[in-house]
Amino acid sequence: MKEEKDKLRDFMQGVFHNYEVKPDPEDWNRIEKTLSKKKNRRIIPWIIWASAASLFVLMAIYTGDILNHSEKGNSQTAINRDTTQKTLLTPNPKTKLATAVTTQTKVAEKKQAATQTEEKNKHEKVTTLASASIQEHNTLKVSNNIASKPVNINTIPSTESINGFRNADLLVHAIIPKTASLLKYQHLSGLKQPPVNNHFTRDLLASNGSDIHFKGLSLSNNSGLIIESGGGTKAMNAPASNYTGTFASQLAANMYLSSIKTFDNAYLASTNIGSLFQNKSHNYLPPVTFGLNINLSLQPNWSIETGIQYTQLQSTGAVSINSSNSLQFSTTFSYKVDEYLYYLGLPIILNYSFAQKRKTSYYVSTGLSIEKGLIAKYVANPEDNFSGMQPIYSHNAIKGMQFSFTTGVGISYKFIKHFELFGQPSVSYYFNSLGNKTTIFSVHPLLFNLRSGIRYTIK
Amino acid sequence: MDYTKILEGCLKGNLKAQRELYECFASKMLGVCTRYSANREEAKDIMHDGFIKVFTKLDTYSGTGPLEAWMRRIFVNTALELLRKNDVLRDAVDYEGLIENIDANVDIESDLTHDELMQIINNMPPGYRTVFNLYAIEGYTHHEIAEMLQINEGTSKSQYARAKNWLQTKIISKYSEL
Repeated sequence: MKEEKDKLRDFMQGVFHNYEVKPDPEDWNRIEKTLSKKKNRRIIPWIIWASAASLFVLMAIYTGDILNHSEKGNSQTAINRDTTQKTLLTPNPKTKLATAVTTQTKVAEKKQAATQTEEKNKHEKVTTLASASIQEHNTLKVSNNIASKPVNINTIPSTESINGFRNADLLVHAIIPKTASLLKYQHLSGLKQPPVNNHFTRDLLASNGSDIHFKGLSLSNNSGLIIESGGGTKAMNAPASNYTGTFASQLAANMYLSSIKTFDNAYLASTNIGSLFQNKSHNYLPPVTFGLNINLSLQPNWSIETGIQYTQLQSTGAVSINSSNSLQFSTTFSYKVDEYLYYLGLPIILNYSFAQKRKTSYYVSTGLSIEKGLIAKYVANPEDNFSGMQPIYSHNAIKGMQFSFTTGVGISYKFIKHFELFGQPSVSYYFNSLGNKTTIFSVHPLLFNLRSGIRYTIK
Repeated sequence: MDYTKILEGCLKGNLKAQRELYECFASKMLGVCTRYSANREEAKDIMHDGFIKVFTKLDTYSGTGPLEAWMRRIFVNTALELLRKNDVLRDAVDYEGLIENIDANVDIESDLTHDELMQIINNMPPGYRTVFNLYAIEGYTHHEIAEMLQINEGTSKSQYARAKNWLQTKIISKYSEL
């Protein structure tokens, strides 16, 4: 068998080794045509990359323009914030001492604080009572008239009237005279849950003669605080003589004069950041879209694609929140807000592949998308440097649908059989949305963006 | 023949040099392609793809072996790729058990012309024809063929045996016509 097999091989190899078949003249033409195409394909990727680079540069310029625009808006907001009037309010219908305290600017605040410091320096021993008494039916409006009066510790009323503290974080920003060489604190006698805090004590002792931030002071029901400088503690039994009002009113006046700010995390957390943020200027980031798509080949080079696409929008801005309820000392706080909007969409896209090299394909595409807003999330971080202030997290729904038209140039890479990774710089036009959100889509309907994702190809 | 200048031109993408290389080898390579094809059009497709590969992969040619042998391997591989792509080797299942029943004694001392013999080979079922070409003409072993076609070695042997039997039948039939 082996001998016969070898004989056959020898015979066949002898016959066919130099066997020739004359090609037709057009055979070379076909090869030449393909070679020319290949040469062009070597050039085309450079054109594509150059175009993509140009596109990105345009996108960067465009985005930069958006950012600049937004920054201008934010600057305006910042100025507005500085000039925002602060109003200190505690409800007390019984009190006739009802005037408004306004702070025009931070400069004015500082001037006022300096004046207060000078006035306080006149007293050898100054004790500041920094506590809050919440009486639901008290109303207090402190005016500049009151604020201009010297604060005398002897006018601070007795602790007997301190009642009804709410559980809250209280942050005190007090200006202590430079003459105060020793600062102490003690909780008021007879209180159930005094705010004893060693860290607090240390902070206080370390901050001699300057602004002091009483950080993380936790006040419970019926708690209070006496801050004392110099030698000895002043007895505070005498009722107010030059204040007409309840202890809460006088305390409020003192707190204002001492530039006290209070905040209540629980109250602030209940703020609907989304609705506040809608009316503010936004700093938009380019949208990011990721898709899981199915690509159906129609003809050589042509395909239709659909699937699920996930889009995330992000914008930043600032809001001001007035905490006028909880501790009833009204203060405006500034927050830097990050808004995240999430969309789920259905694209229908026509692709034309104009060049292929092994697993890489270059294509142009055009199509429509319909997107449904899922949720809008907000993270508001306090801009005021108050320890204990917590970020506010909130969310709400996005109503309506968003329609868009997209066209772009893409590159795909087949990483396993049928599956491709794709990236596609695109230009999209977003039609008027029925949604309730002011988004980058509504402000800048013509957008450069980057589509990317995974595509399953059916041939 | 010294192909150095032609190859240098081809490596630079010179169309004239590519044409020259084509002229030198087109007939031989189309002969190779024809053996693996059922018809001339299929053979021309393989030749087209093969020459494109030659021109694009010429930089991988080391220059140590004969250029023709290097090109022949490319054309054979191109033919096999097309066969795999068209799934024509699907039927090349293991017929090892049938070998013993096949009369493989083929009388090849015939007066058939090369073209007549080629016509018979062209008419072979693709599986037979592929293994027959690789084993009897290209000189590959069954082990090598099994690896190339991703089939069992036994399948390669059985395909070859059946191809020989098929060839014998056709030659006898051809003689009976004469």
